[in-house]
Amino acid sequence: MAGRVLRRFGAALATLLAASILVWVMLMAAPTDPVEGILRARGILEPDPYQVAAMRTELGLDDPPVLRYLRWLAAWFHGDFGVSWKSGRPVAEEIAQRLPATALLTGVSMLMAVVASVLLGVTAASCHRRAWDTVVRVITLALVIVPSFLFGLLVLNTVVLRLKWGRVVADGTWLTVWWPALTLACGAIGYWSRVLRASVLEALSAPYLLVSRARGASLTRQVFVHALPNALPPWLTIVALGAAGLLGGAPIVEAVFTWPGVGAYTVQAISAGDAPVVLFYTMVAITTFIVVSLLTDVLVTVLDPRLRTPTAVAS
Amino acid sequence: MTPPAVQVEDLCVTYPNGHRGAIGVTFAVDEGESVALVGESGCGKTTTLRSIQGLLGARTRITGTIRIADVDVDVLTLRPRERHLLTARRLGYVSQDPYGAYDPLRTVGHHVREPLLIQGRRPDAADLTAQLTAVGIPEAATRLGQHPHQWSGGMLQRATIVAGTQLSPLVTLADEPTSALDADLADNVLSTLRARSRAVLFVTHDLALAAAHADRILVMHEGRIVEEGTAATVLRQPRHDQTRLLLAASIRAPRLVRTPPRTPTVASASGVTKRYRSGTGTLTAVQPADLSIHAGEIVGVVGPSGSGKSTLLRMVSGMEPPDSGTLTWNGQASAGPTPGSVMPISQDPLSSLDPRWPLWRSITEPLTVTRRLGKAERIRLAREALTQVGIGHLDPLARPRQLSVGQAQRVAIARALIARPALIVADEPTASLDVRTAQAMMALLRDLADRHGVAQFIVSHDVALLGTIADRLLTMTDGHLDAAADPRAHADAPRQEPS
Repeated sequence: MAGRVLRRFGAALATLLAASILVWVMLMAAPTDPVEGILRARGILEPDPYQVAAMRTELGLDDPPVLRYLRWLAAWFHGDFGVSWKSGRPVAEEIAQRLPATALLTGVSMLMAVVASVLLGVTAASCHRRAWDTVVRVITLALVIVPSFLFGLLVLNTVVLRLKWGRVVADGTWLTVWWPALTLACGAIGYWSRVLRASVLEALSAPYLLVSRARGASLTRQVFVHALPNALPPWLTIVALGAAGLLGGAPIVEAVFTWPGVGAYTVQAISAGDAPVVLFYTMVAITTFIVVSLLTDVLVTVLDPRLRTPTAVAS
Repeated sequence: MTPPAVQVEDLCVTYPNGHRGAIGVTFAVDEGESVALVGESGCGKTTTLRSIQGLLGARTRITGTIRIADVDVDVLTLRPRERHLLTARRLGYVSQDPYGAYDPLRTVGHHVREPLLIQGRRPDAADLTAQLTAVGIPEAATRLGQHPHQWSGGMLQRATIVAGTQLSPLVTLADEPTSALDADLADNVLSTLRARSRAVLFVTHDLALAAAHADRILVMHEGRIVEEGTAATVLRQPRHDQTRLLLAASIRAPRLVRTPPRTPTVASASGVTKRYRSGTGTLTAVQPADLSIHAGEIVGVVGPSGSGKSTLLRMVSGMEPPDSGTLTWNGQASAGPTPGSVMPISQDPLSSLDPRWPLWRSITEPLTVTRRLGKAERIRLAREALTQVGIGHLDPLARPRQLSVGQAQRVAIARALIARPALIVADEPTASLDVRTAQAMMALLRDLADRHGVAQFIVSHDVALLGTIADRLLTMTDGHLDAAADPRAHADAPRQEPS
């Protein structure tokens, strides 16, 4: 067991390393010169060549790429995440200011998506081939197809502007989180409930449920004692992957609802070529993803006894 | 006169696709009786059982009456929920595949307790342990906390019987309760079933098994009951053709034991062993084994499940290297046989064929390893190969889903044969076939050995069936290969029950 955990940890570190290299390569290959953007952001609209050269030296842009990468890596290991080129303030501080809002948004939308998809998926599977099943299938299909920004604009227009339920400018607190979170959760609700429905249906057709039915087990018992637990492992894996999707979808929804989160801030940083910010955000996102999938693996192992006790099958 | 425990009258079942599973089925099971429902696969025996138990889909149309002794209503007129509550207490159910009957995430104990829990009773742990011990489960108390994958099939099926008879039902219904078990275990499991039940109605395709464990036998054919009588009468004076066919299938004349012929050796093993790492230590699957197979010869290996016979087969076919010892193919020691010289036939024929490929593509695939062939040529070769295995009427452009299991296994044999192999290895080639199809398949394999001189190495747990075609039968127990003892030589001697 300890060996397995260590291996997983090693794999996680390798993933982080590989991702950082990938992001670096992409930043290097970007056609824009970050220096001009940064100078402009600092109020120097028409910099002279001397200023540009000084800035390049300051940022270490003239050094060979490998050296720059290794220097960045070494700094990271010492807990120095760098300074935003644009604002001149420490990246960690800038992100930390905006992260709670994003965490709230993705956390709430994750919760919404899980609860809604379990409700829809399980009830649809229990009413297989009846009206409710069809209704759920149509709704979830619509949720999967409609892109989240479109849904967000729709919500803003009708619900917030016309019906005046909620505020146009969100302030990043509990009071205003609901509509943005629902917008972000939409796609996931559609996808996850469809997966869970199929998974529960498959479990319901297993021979052990025939036995259970013969014993007079109620539908509730069949679904909650046998089918749902068996349907969970594949669904949890999808949810873990989808959690990353929520994180990725956050910038769009944040932009639509002017949510003061880290997503919109990162989008600006990317267009300005602000490497330290982009790198920090990517690393945080990947780490979250790795942690979530690690937790899912542990959870799946807890759920399925066959994964806990390795047995050799001979003959 | 007391009413019968279960009475079925004029039962007709029509599936949503229009198939009629049962037509005018009428019979009764009396208190204390054991009744066998016998027939080929697809004859409607499982349909009948499931309609009594109320396990058919909501869109299946069922007519007729089904009465249970102490309730004076036709259960078919009840709503599903009421009906399940009513029948669950009076009818026990034992399913076919012991592993399939268990929720893999729950403990065996949960499964055994479930009938009581559903009825709102509190299970008594000591009582359950005692019941399991009584049917021969060692260390029942600790084993109840284990999961199904940690149990053997035979033990699971006995626990299923304990679970199915928990509420001492009027009748225990069992659907092919032993088809997934070795012959020795099957006897034992059916005896347990009989001993624990007030009355038994069991479905089987094996007439011999039915005769040994039933008072009365009902023979079904194409949805109807075609013959009914006491076990002795049905066996001694069969009136219907179908019964005679089933009877013929259950009598197997063993082939005479032969000494190895003077043909060249196609494969031989000396001192090969294999070990597996398991959770706690190593498990020796095959102890040092010696073996040689000659051209045109069928060598069978029999033994209980888990005895290492499949592992031996994989080593002889070159699919798995031995841990020690040497293997030679065509007299040359090498790391593996030359491609195409050893061809496998698998246990589950349908899953051994790619469902998206037409037959010609699957059949001629072995030929494309060494040379390029045009589609027309491949279809022609496939047609020839199909004729050789007795299904020349099949269209080579058909896809596997259009075939019956028996036809699919013939296609798999055609595919193995087309490469002109020196040796065919087959692991339980008849396990998923019903008795008569299985016999036809064995006859085909014998024919191929005689006509084409293909040596065959066949593993099976069905001693009697394999005995009808094998030149030599080797026994395997706990990893020991016993080449000297041919089980056919002392078939009358009592057999030891494998643990």
